[in-house]
Parts: sequence; structure tokens; C-alpha cells
Amino acid sequence: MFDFSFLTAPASLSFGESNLELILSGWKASVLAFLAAMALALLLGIPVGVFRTVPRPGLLRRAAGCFVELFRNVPMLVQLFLWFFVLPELLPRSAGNWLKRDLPDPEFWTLAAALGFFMSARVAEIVRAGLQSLPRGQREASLAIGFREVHVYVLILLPQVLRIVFPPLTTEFANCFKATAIGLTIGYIELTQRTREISEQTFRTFEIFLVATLVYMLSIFTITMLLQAAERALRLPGLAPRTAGH
Amino acid sequence: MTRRAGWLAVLGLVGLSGPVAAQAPTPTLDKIKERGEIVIGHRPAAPPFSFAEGSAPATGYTVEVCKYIAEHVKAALKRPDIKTRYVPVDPSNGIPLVQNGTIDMECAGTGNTLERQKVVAFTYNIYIGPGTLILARHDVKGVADLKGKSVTVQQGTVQQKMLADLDRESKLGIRVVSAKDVAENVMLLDTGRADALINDKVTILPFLARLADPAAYHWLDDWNAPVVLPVSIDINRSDDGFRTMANEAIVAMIKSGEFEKNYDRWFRVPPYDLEMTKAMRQFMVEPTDKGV
Repeated sequence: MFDFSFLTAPASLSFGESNLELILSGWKASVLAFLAAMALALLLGIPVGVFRTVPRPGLLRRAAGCFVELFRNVPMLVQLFLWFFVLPELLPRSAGNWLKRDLPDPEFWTLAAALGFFMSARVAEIVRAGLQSLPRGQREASLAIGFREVHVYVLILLPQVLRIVFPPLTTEFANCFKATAIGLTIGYIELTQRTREISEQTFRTFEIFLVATLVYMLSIFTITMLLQAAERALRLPGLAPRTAGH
Repeated sequence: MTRRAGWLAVLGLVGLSGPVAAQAPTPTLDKIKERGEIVIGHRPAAPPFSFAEGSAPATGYTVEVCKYIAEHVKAALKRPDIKTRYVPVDPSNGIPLVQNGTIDMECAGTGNTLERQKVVAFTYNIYIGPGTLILARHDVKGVADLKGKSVTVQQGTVQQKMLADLDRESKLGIRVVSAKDVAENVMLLDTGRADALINDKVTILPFLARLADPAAYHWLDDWNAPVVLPVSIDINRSDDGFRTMANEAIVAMIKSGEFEKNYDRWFRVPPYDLEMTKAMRQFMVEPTDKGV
């Protein structure tokens, strides 16, 4: 029925690498894009989520709102094309040319930026929801005993929020890993692209996609396990959300 | 609980894909008679071989040959009630769909290669064109000037291998920029992300007019493609009866003059204006299904 012997055979487009090695290099590219995008998403998403909840409406809150609506409401694929094809044309000529010609690995950095900004809007919403789920009394009490606004967030609210948002964040991490596959539309050679290449060269379509499916499932399973372990390690006694089945 | 769900998902996948791959392929002609339809796989956007135009579901050079074959099959089976159904395919799923019998013929610009002959059969070759060329900016005078430059190539094409070989043999240190389709291939050159592109000339011609400044580019004349792929129609390997009938149809088409008329209709007009190549004239005298 299935014949997997092609995996160890040398790939026809490469210089001596086997098809399996190509799949692994694609996996590595997916992992790198995932890590870069997620780092950017957390770096941007957490502050934006915080600005969404500042008590007085103002420029900061409105700007954060616009940021979320902009990056959450435009399809990811469209955003990727805007970053890759449109942005360099809008910038001054020298900057655009630098992006197009001198930036090393432009496909990687474009994908990381596009995916990072898109995911950051989602992270921001999760952080906002987490902040709004805390009792209002905490903020009021902290302010009453003399904390400044920034300290209320950094010392009181965020340490709790970053613990309770772990389950929804885990889903976003998994989504982000799967979304790295859109990189193939701008020529980033990641796991799905490698799979398609091998499928086109060997015509072992069902086998190679089965392999890719397993690689995706194992990767996301690993991400989930790591995040669950982190969640358990960081859990505060008495504050743990009670979930059935644990 | 999550673990068990995971395993169930894996089992489900194996279970779903099992029967499809295990099914013995039914000979094409029996299937056509039984279902009362011939299924043509076509490309929505691969001019001039196969594309959608106006209200026609599919047309183009290869599709017209396939329609001729379909009429021939209907006549030979004495079943004028047989219908033709069109299924859109892309370069990556066309051959697997021929293999598993979803489509009876893939009517596109599919190159007849020995590699592909291991998994599908081909009818007589129906076209051979000018082949692969490199289109470059004017500051790239010849192949040697490609040193350290970026060249864009379409993913999943034979040109990928040609470019890799050229790069390795001439030690050029080319930066390869891969594009997912022809439009992107051309756009990467046009927006300055690449200094040159490599692709089949016939594939590129309809897109040249869309360049911001077509005069800024020229074909490199000091490089010739190591191979030129003949275009053919791929069909299921398990069915010699259907292949014989399709080949008869192609020969009848050549004899009646329809074949050359079909060529003129698609290739002797702008933006192509291409004379029939010598190799293709040879196909018309001595039909062959040889691949490269």
C-alpha cells in the first residue's frame, strides 16, 4: 500500500541530501520562523494588551485599539503580501532597495515580521481579557496604598495575568506554528513547501503528506507539553485555575 | 484524554487514506462507459495550453487536443451520450489525480519526463517549443555576469534543477529566489528583487506585456537549456486500451489538418508568434511518446 523507501533515497533537486533530510531542513526553517514570530508577538502583544486596559481613554488606548483591529482584521496572507511586495515600494527608494536586495534572508525576516505582527494582535487580546478578568479591587487597592500606575501593572496585575493566560496562549502558539506554512507563498522553503517539492519529484504524495502531518502533530504536541510544564512550574498555590481532568 | 484523542486522529488518518491508495485502478475505458463521462483535468491559468476564457470552462492548445480525443473515444465506443466533465488541477496534484483515477487525462503543459513515466503513461507528444530561457536586466550581458546576482525560479519546475546545475558548474554563487507561480516569477524580476528569471519562454511570453518596462530586459543568448521537454497528455498507466485510442485520435487530428490549425490558433498569434519548431514537425511525421 504505502512505500516509504523514497525517504532515504537522494532527492532529485538536491546535492546528495536524502528526501528525509530535506523534510528535516524544512522543519528547521518552520521552527525558526515560529520562534522569531512568537518572540515578536509576545514582545509587542503584551504591552499593546496592557495599553488596551489603561483606565483613562486617551491616545495610548486608542492607538492600541487601532493596532489590534488593523492586524487582526486583515487576512494573514494579505498582510504577508503587503509586507513582502508593497512595503518596499512605499519606503524611500534606498530603504526599499535595501529590503529587496541587501537584507540577508528577506523571506525569513518578512515572514517573521508579518506573522509576528498578526499574532501580536491576538496575544494583545488575550492579555487584555486576562487583565479584565482580575477583580477591579486589586487595582484600586494598589493605587490606594500608593503604587504608581506602572507599578500596579508590573508588580501586581501582570504576574497574575501571564499565569492565567497560558491555556489560550498555548492555542495561539500552535496556530502560529501551523501558520508558518504561508511562508511558501513568498518563497520561504519551510516544511509544507519541502513536502510539496518532494511530492512533485517522487509522486509519493500520500506518503510524504502523511510524514509531514506526523511532523506537524509531533511538533505541536511538543510545544503544548512544554507550555503545560511551564504553566505547572509557574503556578501559584491557591491561584491555580481548577480544570477538570487534572 | 488529549493523548487518546491524538491517537484516534492518527488512526483516522491512516484509515481514511488506506482504501484510496489500496484500490486497484479500473481501466479507464470501462470507467468512462460505466459513468457515461470523460473527465478532463485542466489548469485555470496556464496559457496557451490550458486556461479558462470567458464562459468556457476550459480551453487552450492542449485542452482542444483533449476535446478531439474525447470525441474520438465517444465515436469509437459508439456512445454519443458520453459527457465531458472538467476538473481544475494544479502542477502538484495533476499527476496524483491521474494516478488515482479522479481525472482521465491531464490536459496542461505537462512535460513528458522519464521520471514521470514511472508513475503515469503519456500519449504521443503534442508540442515542443523553444524551451527554457533566462530573461535578465540589461546590465547582465551574459551568464558570467550572473555572478553573485539573484535569479528567480518557479517552484516545482524543471528549471529549478537547471539553475542549480548552472550555478554549480559555473561557480556563480547565485542567490535563488523562488516564486510560487509564473505571475510571481515575473513580479520578482519586475520589482527588482531578482536580476534575472529562468523559465520556459512560452510560459513567460504572455506575462511580458505586464512588465512596467518590457524594454529593460533581454533574453541571454549565451545560454541554452540542456534539455527541452516535449509536452504530452498524461493518462493512467494501467490502461493500454485508452492510450491506443488517444494516440489514434492524435494521428487522425494530424492527418485531417486540425492539429496544425490548432497550433496556429494558439501559437501564431501575439504574444507568441512562434513558428512550429523542427522537432515538432518531426513529431507530426513520426509520432512518438518518448520522454526526456
